Amino acid sequence: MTTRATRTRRLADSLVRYAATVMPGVLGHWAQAMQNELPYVTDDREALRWAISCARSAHAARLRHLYLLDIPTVRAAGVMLAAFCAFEIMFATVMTVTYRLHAVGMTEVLGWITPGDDYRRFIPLMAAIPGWLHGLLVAAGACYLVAVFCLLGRRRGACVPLLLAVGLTLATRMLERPFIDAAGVVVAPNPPLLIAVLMPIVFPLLLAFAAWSGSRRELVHA
Amino acid sequence: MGRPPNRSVQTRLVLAALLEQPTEWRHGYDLSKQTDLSSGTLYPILIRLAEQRLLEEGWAPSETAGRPHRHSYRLTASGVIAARELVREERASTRRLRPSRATR
Repeated sequence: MTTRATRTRRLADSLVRYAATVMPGVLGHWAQAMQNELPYVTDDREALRWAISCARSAHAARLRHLYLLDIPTVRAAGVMLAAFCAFEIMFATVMTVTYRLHAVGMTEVLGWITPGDDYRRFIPLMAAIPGWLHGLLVAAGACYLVAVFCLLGRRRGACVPLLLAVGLTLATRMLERPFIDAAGVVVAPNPPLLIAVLMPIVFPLLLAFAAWSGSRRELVHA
Repeated sequence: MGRPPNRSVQTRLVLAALLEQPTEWRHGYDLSKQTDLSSGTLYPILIRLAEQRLLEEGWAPSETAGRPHRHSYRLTASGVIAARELVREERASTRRLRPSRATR
């Protein structure tokens, strides 16, 4: 009986120590508070219940304080994603500008990274897309660049430019459709899901959600 | 003055327990026993009350030799006001405060 009680107590000690390691750093002294309280729980079974409950609470606190964008690799991936989206959304405008400025060399270089490796098939499209649509594309790209700036500076307001960028991207995708159809140019036949949906819409929305959750938590704890 | 406290039953129980002796320092285990709340429910409430500046916290040396310091809690002035208001509201609206849990 005594041995069992001692084991129970040891298990409770281990659990409450584990809870202290799980607890987020900002709540370190609370973890210590829970740990220090355990010796005052005289009954071993009650001590074990106390420790299990502490561990549960520590995990919940850990989840609540988890801010994905504080993890350097996640933040770096977010920056790369937003930069890629900025490049991707402004690509057509940059190519059109170089073409209209007769910078053929530059247009050719840009054409190498288009499907088909040749800018010339886009000439009817570059002529057809109106200036205001390019304005929207540039605005979306600028929003992505602002998001890159926010993410690099660890600012929590990145969700606003990201949401704006996704909204503008969706709007331009819808508005440009009639012009593309009229020009009769197939930009990218059967684009993969990653390029067509995940990269320009789903991933930026997830990134915006991660940024929003962090800024919301800052408000709650202010 | 801090933000108003959460109005959950558990928060009310903790505030009512702390309000019994507002000037006395209380400990986690004692509050847990008095309110019948597990440590996993009690501590998040204490953390939130402290963040809302309704709860004062501090470390106190143990009265028993060989035992660790204890984290102690008592209501701040704002906490006392908020707790009194919450308890009064509950009594006025429901008349169903369970004295066996809240004041045991």
